Amino acid sequence: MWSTAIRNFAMVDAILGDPPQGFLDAVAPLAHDTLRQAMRYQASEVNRYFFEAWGWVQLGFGVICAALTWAAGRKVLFKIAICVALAIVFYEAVHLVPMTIETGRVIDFDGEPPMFVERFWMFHHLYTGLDMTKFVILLGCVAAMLRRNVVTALVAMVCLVPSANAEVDFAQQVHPIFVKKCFACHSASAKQGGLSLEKLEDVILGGASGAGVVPGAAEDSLVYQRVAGLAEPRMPMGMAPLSDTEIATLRDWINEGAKWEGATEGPLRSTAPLAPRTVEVPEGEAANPVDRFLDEYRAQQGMIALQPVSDAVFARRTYLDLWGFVPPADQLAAFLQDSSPDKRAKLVDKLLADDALYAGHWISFYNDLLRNDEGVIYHGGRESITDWLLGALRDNMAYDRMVRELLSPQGEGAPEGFLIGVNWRGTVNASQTPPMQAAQNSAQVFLGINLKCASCHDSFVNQWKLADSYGLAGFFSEEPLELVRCDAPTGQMAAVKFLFPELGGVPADAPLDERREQAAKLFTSPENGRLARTLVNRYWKRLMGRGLVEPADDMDQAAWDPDLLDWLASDFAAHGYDLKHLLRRILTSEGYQAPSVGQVGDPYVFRGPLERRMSSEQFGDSLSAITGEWPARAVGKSAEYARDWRLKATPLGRAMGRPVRDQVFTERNEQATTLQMLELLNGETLTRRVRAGAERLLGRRTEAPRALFDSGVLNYRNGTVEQEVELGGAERLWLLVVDSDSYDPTRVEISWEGTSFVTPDGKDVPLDGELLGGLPFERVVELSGKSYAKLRVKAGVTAASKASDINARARFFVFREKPDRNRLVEPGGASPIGLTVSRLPADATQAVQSLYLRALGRGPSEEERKIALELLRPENGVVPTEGLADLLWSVVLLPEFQVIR
Amino acid sequence: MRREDPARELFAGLSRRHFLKASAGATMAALQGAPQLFAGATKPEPKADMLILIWMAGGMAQTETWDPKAYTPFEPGIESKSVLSTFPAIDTVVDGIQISRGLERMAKVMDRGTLIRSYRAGDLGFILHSRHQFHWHTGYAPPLSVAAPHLGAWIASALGPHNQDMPPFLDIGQNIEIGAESDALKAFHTAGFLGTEFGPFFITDPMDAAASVRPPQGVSNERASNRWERFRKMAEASPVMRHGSSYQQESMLRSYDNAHRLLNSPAAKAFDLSLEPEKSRKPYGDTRFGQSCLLARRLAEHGARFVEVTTEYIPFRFWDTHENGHTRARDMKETIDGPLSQLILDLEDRGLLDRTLVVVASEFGRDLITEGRPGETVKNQVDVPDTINELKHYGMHRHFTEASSALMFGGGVKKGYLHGKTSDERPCSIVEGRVDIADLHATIYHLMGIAPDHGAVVEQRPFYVTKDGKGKVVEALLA
Repeated sequence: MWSTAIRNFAMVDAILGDPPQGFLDAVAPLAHDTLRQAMRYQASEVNRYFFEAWGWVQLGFGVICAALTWAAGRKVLFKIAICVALAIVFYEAVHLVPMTIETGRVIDFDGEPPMFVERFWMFHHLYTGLDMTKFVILLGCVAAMLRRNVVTALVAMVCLVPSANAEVDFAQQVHPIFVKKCFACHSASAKQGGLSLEKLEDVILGGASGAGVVPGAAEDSLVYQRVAGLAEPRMPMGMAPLSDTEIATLRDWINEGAKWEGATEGPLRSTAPLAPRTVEVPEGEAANPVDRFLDEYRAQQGMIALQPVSDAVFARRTYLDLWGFVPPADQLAAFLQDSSPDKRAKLVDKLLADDALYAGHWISFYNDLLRNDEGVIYHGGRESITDWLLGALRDNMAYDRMVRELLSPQGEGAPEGFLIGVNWRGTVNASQTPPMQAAQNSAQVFLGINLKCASCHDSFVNQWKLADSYGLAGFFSEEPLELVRCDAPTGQMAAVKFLFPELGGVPADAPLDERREQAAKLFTSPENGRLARTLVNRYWKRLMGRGLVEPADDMDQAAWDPDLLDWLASDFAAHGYDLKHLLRRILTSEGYQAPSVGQVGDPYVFRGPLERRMSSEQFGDSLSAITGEWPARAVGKSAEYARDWRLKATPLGRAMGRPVRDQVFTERNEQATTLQMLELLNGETLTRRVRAGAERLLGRRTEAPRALFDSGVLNYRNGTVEQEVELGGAERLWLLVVDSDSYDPTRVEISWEGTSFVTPDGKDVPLDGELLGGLPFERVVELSGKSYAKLRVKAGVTAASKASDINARARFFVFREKPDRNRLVEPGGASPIGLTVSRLPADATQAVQSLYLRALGRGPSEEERKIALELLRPENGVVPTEGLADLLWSVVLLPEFQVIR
Repeated sequence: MRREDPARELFAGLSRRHFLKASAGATMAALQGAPQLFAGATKPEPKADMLILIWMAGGMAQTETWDPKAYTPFEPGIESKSVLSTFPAIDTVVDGIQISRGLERMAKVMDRGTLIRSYRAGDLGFILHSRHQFHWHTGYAPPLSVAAPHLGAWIASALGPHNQDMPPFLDIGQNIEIGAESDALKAFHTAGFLGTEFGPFFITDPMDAAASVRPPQGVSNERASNRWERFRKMAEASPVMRHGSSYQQESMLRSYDNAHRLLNSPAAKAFDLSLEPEKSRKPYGDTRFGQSCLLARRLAEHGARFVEVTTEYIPFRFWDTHENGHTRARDMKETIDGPLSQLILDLEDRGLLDRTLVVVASEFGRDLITEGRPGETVKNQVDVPDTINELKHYGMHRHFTEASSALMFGGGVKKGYLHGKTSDERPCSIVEGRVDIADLHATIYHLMGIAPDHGAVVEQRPFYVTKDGKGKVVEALLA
């Protein structure tokens, strides 16, 4: 059944390689790739119909057989046998087949969820088993009818069943169970209950409870008893029990004499080769070498090449991947109209050429990796590397140089923050001191090595030892480090040693600067192929949704195409670790331009990029790019428009997946959650932003009044301000004081005492009336009829607000027009992406058309237009702001908007 | 099994409804990034379905509340080191348990639960409140190499929502934008590696809790439901949804539907304190903490799973008494005495207390002299004069990590029981029954039906609800 399904898929692909035009027209406005996906599903369904139909055919056939048997007046035994066979056929047709189909469909369409895979195989096995029984019965009947010996026939049948008792292969079957399920507690370094499973002697010797294994006698062996649940406590403790097959394997292995063959003793885990590997690009027609590898890969997998996605889908992906927001409508239109054959490559080049927009997108990727964030404070230590990082990306600094500067920061503006890490005041666990954090993070981020386990003890899950982590930390530590095992000092000093000592080392007594410099050299040594491999894999994962190696933080795992990985890495290194070159390589490949797939299966097979969810930053920036209305951030006393990454994380930003970067984040969780959707449906941030966006799109976003005077934040330490303000003939003044994050605003007292007006001839007229107050403070002063030239402000927080549990912080304003409380400080400057966004057309239908083009890169269908127009129903011939805000809200909430297909 | 016409299926969205319905949830674990959970060795029988954590943020002085010592009245010239308590002790309904004056209403409900006088905070060196709070709430001391989940997130993930329409982790009363220590608070008010599904639903101001389930400011109910309906139709009408829908997009729609249902469910009414009858509202008072307790009770009635209510942590405020300790402790006791006792009584009245565990705790205790713990003192943060001449110096102003008090009521804990003892003379160290965070958590989790070695595999290594899975249930506390 399965092979037929695969053949049918291939057939659909073949047909659709060149679909008849009429067919395409009929299913417009379907995108080409979407159509293919639909057809694949269809093919899969057709297979199932065949399967189901076969069940019914058998049943019909069975009934006829039964009827014939009766009619022929056979013996009772015959009748019973036929009835049993018939019952089986009936059961298969009405229950087993439908259930197999149902679970099969889930597996096929839904990325093989483990529970369903398990269930599918259960049904499948049951079906096979019953089929076999049925076959035996029928064969028996036939044999009997042919007057042969029934028993002989049955014996012959049984012999056909392959023996399930082939000898157990230790290295292939047993050792992996030990490694995966037991070593966490029973390795030579862990030895819970005194038992280690690393060597045969240890296993036989056993632990506190006695011998682990008695060769030849599973029932007497503790290891078997404990995993099989015959003795308490059942192992593995605290985890799911072993599967029946695994238990049987262990039993058979012991019964066969517990032979330790073929596997090295100890935790088996090899380190991927360190050196870069030169790989020949395969022969082929594809222009991009990446595609030659992919063509070869597909040929091996028996798959045919996929047609690239439409221009619109490609453009959307590319803008989001290089600039971080959806394509501006005019640029998209120009791209779609362009008929030059190399327009896709040209688009990639054009987007890469804009340093500021490129950096404004990719900085979020590096912020996650390097734990850098905006406006985050830690008592104990943390330092921003934003300026350096932004500069490095704008200048397209070579990646190896970036790594060198991060590991050996020198001079002004160097990115010290990475090595400092995130620290808290107080006593820090030995495994989390700044040098240990530096070791863990540099190994993880740059080399795809997990040293976190090995920071407390020798790792149970990989090959790294405690001494390795300390050895690397020694490069970043002021003082020599003492080995501390699980919080217990060992009294032993750690050697300064690189993870791959074959590349070199450094004298332990060298000055810190020299050690860091040497670390920088070792990480970026041309002999160290891991640096490039790790990075190209991260980029592949970011752009394709899944890495060549997974998990991307464990570069000792095998790549699904090792040649492609090694070639990409070598190519990246050969081109001077040029990040833009790498992006160009991948983005111009047919692999990147293939239709996306919804979910991955297991084992993973590359069929195209995985559908991705927009990141938090892509969502925020895309919303602004559509409307031209950007959020503002405070810069000193003024404010400026900013891209999402520049802002302190909002509840919306967090809900959409911007991480709390206290740890390294190498991937975002893209899963939709109820809390996230609550924020989208009901959050203040998004509602405020779509409202402002709608105002901007309709040209109704008015400038907020600007303050004549703004004190900035005043606290009890910087006390009072005195400043003269020109009144410019104002008729009325608004004196305003707002809270600016006091601990206890209710107890803050503010004062305007000493403030006076200055007449044109220089005389002072004190401001009288209400001069003291709490927060918020607002007072209107009438000036009509007075001819004051200036206001001499004297304002501040009073001494009464000085207590530490008040922590008074207030900001004083003077306006000559009624202030907008939500926009006391209006940002200056232009859009942070430097692109202007035009207003929407006044006509509602055209407005809907334009909004869809901007947001989704396509016009609305008739039905969509109708729904949208219900929201935009003009009042007095004018599109209402609220209606447009709601439409905008609906559009950005659409899964179609938030998913990068 | 019935089938739709295949041709129709192709153009009307295939059988996506079909298979997605069948696979909802099953695929979650298979998604990237979600850690693999494992249950502990033995799964305990749950004694409570709901946990209300009453968080006394800022370091509640134990000698001024639940563990009173010899009373020294204020008069100018008293020696600092002679002052152990600045209030006299009062009797409670339980023989042998005395608590501090100002907790008269609590004194009447002490027979409903257990008082622990021997909680010992972690050894984290120089004192930082948020770091100790992180330690209390996660069981681990920061910094960590992975993002540790909050107690509430573990419970939410292990047990799921109690009522499908109520977020399983509700966090009432803590503003997490408090200036310099904000990031430290955010570091543990999170589901960490468990993923945002289990993260806290924040209700910063209980008096405005209804706003969290009401449409945003400036959007009327009518407009909200109108835009929702249009959005839903628009999503269905999208050709991408119709013809190329995927797990990702379907799962987004499903989450939207869940969120929308939650906002419009009967349970959402629980958030609206204005619906509470005056009579039952009054005993909780008008304070923010009082309203938080009332809200917690309403949420409990509507099937909350984990609710944290806090007196709120803001540096130098509330229980964080760096000066004026006596008067501030008096005010704080006045703040908590009524609402806390009323919450216990209301839960009991409604028959909920048996299956609800109420825990009252603080990150550490306080003392007038010792900063840190005896023998392991750390740098002082408050100057204490040798003799007290001004009222502002009269009180417990230093951070004391040796001993503090915690209370447990309801779901499976002993009634009228006193656990642990501290010495009557300074340094007032724990004499018996020491309980540390791993054991306290193990007990709480045990009562909720979660083993102390329940955990998740994160980056290939196990991470447990109690440190290294080694928390021991304090059997003496169990009913």
